[in-house]
Amino acid sequence: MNLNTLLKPKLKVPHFAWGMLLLIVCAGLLYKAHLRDLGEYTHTASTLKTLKELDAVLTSQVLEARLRSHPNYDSIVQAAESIQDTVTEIKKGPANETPELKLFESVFSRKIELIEEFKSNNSVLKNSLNYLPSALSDADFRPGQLSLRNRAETLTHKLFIYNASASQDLKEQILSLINFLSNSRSLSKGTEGFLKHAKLIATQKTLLDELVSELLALPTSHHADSLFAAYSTQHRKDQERSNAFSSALFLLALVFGAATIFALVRLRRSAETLRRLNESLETRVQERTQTIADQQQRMFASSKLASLGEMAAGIAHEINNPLTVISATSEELQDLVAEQQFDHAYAGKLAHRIEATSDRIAKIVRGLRDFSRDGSDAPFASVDLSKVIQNTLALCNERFKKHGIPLRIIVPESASSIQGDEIQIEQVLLNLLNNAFDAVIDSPNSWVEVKLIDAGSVIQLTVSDSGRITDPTVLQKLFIPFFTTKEVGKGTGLGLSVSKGIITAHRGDLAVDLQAPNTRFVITLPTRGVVTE
Amino acid sequence: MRLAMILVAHLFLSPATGITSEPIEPIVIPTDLNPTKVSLGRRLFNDPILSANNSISCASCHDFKRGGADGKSLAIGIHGRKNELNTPSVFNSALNFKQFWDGRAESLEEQLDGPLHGENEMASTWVQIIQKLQQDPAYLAEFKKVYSSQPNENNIRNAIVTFERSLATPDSKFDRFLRGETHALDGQEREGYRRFKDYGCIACHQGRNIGGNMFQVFGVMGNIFSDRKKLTRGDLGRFNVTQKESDKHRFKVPSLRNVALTAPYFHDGSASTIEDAVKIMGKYQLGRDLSAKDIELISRFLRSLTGKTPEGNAR
Ligand code: HEC
Ligand code: HEC
Repeated sequence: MNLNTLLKPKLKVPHFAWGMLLLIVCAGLLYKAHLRDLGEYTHTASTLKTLKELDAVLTSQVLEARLRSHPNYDSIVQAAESIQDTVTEIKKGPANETPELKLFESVFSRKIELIEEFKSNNSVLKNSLNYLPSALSDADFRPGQLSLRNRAETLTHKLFIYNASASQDLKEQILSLINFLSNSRSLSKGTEGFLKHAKLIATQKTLLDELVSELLALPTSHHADSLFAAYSTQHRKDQERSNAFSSALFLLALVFGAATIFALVRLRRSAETLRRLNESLETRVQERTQTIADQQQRMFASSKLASLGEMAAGIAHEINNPLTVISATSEELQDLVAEQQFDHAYAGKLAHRIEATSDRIAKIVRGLRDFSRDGSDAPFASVDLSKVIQNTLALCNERFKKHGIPLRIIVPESASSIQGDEIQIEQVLLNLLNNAFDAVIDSPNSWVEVKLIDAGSVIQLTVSDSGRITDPTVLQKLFIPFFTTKEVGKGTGLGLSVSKGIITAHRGDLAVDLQAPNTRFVITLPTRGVVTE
Repeated sequence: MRLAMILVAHLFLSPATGITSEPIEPIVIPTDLNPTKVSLGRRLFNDPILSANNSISCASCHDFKRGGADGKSLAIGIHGRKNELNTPSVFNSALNFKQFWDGRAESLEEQLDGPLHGENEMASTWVQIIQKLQQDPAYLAEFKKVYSSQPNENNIRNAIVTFERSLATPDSKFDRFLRGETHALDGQEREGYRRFKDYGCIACHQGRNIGGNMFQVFGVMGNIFSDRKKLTRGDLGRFNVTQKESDKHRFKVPSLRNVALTAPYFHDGSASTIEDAVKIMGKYQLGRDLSAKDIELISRFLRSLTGKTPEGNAR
């Protein structure tokens, strides 16, 4: 009870505070991540592109106005205004503090300034140029001033050519002509007017040349490009930052979620601890039992798996024996055929043996297949145990004989049968016989005995050998998977546990007879077998 | 020899297209304006409530019966205070590339603060104006209707400027001529136009507004200020904005549309008739002495530039 009251404040206060903090940080990050409007950049980029186009248009319009006798500046004004609006718009855009923007802005405002000057000067120049031929005719030279008149004509001519060229020589010639004419005495009013326009053309033209060349040299496009580059860099950074904010947000959300789950789990667990404290001993025992059962279950599953492996390993051996029988028999049969006198009966017997032996192989293979299935759904049939023994012996008799180990078989007259899987039972018997063989092979006076006892409701099949298991730990672990006493590489340690599994599946039992003077394995099987519904 | 030079002149100076398109375009009526804003703006433009003592309105100086100007040489504002500049017309002012004689305002929106706050004009403040308008139920209702809000600096500005944009004066005789009605102008007017172009007035007074698209020094071909009364600050023109020596006496070339209605002329109202103005222009802007005939013909042409006066009075 008091544990409960202790736990509550401890859990609630810090988690609540953490939760609030995280929520605030999340909100902040959400705001930050959204603050970066990335669409703005695409907009600025396209605005900059438009600006470059406008700028090129403006420049070409200026050049055209420079050539025309009656230029109209409305289009120039429009282009210049669009440029100014665009620059203002870009200024409002992202990265408004960059040095690139300052350069960009100053270069464009210089351009607008130059264009204003250009418009003024170009108009004045054009007027004087347009007027000059008339001004020349209005200039009245006295008869004695013929050379002056010629010079004035030459000046007019050169001024027109100069207007469309950039010749420095021409300019000097023009200036010296103007100078000469201006210094001439007693000029008429008309001539003075002519000279005024000539002077104005010379100075305005030079001025316009300077304006236009500065205008053309202005690196507007370059600054638009470098501004764009700066924006791109900034854009990338912002995108990264924005991504970082989003990731941070995501992470925080995760942390928040995890923290919530953690808090819940802790609350849960504390409640469970409390509950467990109140649990009865019985519940604990039950739990423990369950754990053990689970363990066994797991063990059986793994032993089944492993026994498959062992069977696969042993299969070569098990199939090899009948194969040897088959090949020996067929050799004998061939010899027989080669003889003059053909013993029909004997040949038939040999052929039959081949057939039976191959049958056996087929059975082993089928058994292998069946074993991989759960024992309970294997088709159980009536199994003649004396036949099982006979079949098994056929597999290992040779081996015992070869090593001079006597193999005793004690089987009752009447045939005992059980319900089950013949091959699986043979498997178990073979396994026990192999174990016995391995156990006694190196010891003198060794023997092995197989005995079948029919006790009515159950049968007992025992496999005994001359050896003796003395080590109590070995006896204890005998049926545990992977336990083996055989030398490394000879056995997997699964044989006995698998065998036990098989016999258990047949509702029987496989055990070691501790009372027997020698090693004695006892298989007990019910004669009525498994009741299947 | 003369012929050769004229040929040379043509080679370099004739329009690149070779098509003799006119350098002036006719006025078009703006169609993209919200009529409720225009009428609210018209009301404000005519209302003395915008001035400090409710004595004068924009229309006091920009009188629609006087071509959108005031007929005075120098504007007279609140308390009869004299300004140092002549009142230009508000007609077609939206077509000007900049506002004011010295072009210090880039837009009409920017321009508006000038007369509203000018000590010699309306001498008002936004706070006063907004307060007064908010106390007027009729204005409250109209602003609510047009802008769905109370009067504030933004929507007041927007209403007045929208109205100003509507002040186009289409269908002058000259515009009809430009549109192909050759006989909308009589022979003398057409000859006046030809001389206007030939003399080079068109080099400065050009574009749709026949002016208003560049700055020019007043007195390119001779100092008009040297032999005159003492200079005022207004005489310095664009210099007041840029502080550049070359911008002294430089002004926005004024529009010549409706020029017949807006005497007296020039930034200081120093020319009382069109003829005077044309004569001065010839001398100081072109370096030419125009004959009486030239002046007469050109002035006739200038009088053909009067278009339809827009609807002016709200009440
Ligand atoms: C006291 C007379 C007076 C009043 C009142 C007045 N103006 Fe003006 N307005 C002038 C003068 C003078 C100028 C030229 C000032 C300058 O260039 O510095 C001018 C210039 C303008 C121009 C620029 C025209 C151009 O072509 O440059 C506009 C537009 C204009 N006024 C609109 C208004 C509006 C709108 C109001 C009302 C809010 C108003 N004015 C009130 C006298 C006045
Ligand atoms: C070099 C440019 C230039 C040329 C060429 C020029 N003007 Fe002007 N014009 C101006 C400027 C600048 C003003 C404004 C001067 C001022 O008010 O200070 C002006 C003003 C005027 C005005 C007065 C407008 C008003 O509302 O106050 C008239 C009329 C006029 N010009 C007509 C002409 C005529 C006609 C010609 C040709 C004979 C001509 N101009 C040539 C630049 C020029």
